[in-house]
Amino acid sequence: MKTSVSKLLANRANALKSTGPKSQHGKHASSKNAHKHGLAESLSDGERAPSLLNAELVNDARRLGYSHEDAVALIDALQTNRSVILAKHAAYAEKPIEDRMPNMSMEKIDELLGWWMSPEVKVTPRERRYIVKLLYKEVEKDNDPVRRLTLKIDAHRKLMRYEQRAVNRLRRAAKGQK
Amino acid sequence: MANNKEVAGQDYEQAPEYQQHVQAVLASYDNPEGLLGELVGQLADAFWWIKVYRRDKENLVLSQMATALAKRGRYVEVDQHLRLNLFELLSGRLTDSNSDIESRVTLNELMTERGHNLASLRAEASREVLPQIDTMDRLIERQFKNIRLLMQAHDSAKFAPQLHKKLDLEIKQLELQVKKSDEDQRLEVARQ
Repeated sequence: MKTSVSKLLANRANALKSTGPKSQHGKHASSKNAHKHGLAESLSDGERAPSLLNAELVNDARRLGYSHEDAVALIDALQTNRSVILAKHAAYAEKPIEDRMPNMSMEKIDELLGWWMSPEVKVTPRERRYIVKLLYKEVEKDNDPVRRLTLKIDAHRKLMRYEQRAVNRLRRAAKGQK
Repeated sequence: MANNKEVAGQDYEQAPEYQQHVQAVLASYDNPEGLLGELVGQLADAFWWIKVYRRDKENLVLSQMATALAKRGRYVEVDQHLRLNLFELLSGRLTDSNSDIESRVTLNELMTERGHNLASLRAEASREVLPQIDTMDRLIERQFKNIRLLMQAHDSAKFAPQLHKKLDLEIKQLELQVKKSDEDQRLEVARQ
């Protein structure tokens, strides 16, 4: 426990010192920070290179009587829907117990914080309150089953529109409609 | 195409409960393979989520009830062990399974202490998690729609060969008819 909280504090402290990425590579990488699942691009891309599609499935669709163009569109839609399914499962996965913060009150966090921080570190009372609140949020997230479930439900709510679009597109593709 | 690097490595597909469920659905469709197999697999997934959401809706209310009883201070400072015990007790009590008398007494004492009976505690917990329950209802509704659409997609793919064969025959028949009427016309003209 001590390690993870200390690590969290160290990361926060280092992040405050940072002025952002300098190199082109770093800038490119940080531009993808908010990227969660990539489903938005996948659905707006429309056409996908046939090489990325499962060739076996395309052939199967051809065997079922679809034209090549329709088969590619159908498998593309099928794989997009599978990506949404994978994203849903990933969003609903439980955080491993060993990665969770132990249950403790704000007072306890404050007390431990004083113990973990070396006397050289200058932290204003305001900053300290901020760190305690930040850590407490993590504790809450990890220990309250209602909160954990709420987060999972919320993730699925956000994925719902991708789900809707993917399934509709799949139905249309199966019917051979563009 | 979706970038699923973040979701790769999730081994939910290996979970025995999930696998059994998918196998059962596939079996009900005579174990199709390839494209149809994948479609039925996605259909099975939608059924799976209905089950999960229904279970979690109940768990959400029970967890909220347990949290309300186990809460001690201003914040969420909750005795985890007590909450877990209460959750099991409440789920046992609400599903009428046999819980021992001692546990029932403890639960009743805690509820009385907080000024509740089982019904009022459940009502208050449900009120607290109403937005989440609403979202779950919407998610369940979405799964039903998905099932309907996936079934349509499955039927279209399954009957595509017959449909194409039928269309081919119809086109050939029409071509023959056109050819025949052309010949008839030519013969008619020649006769006149």
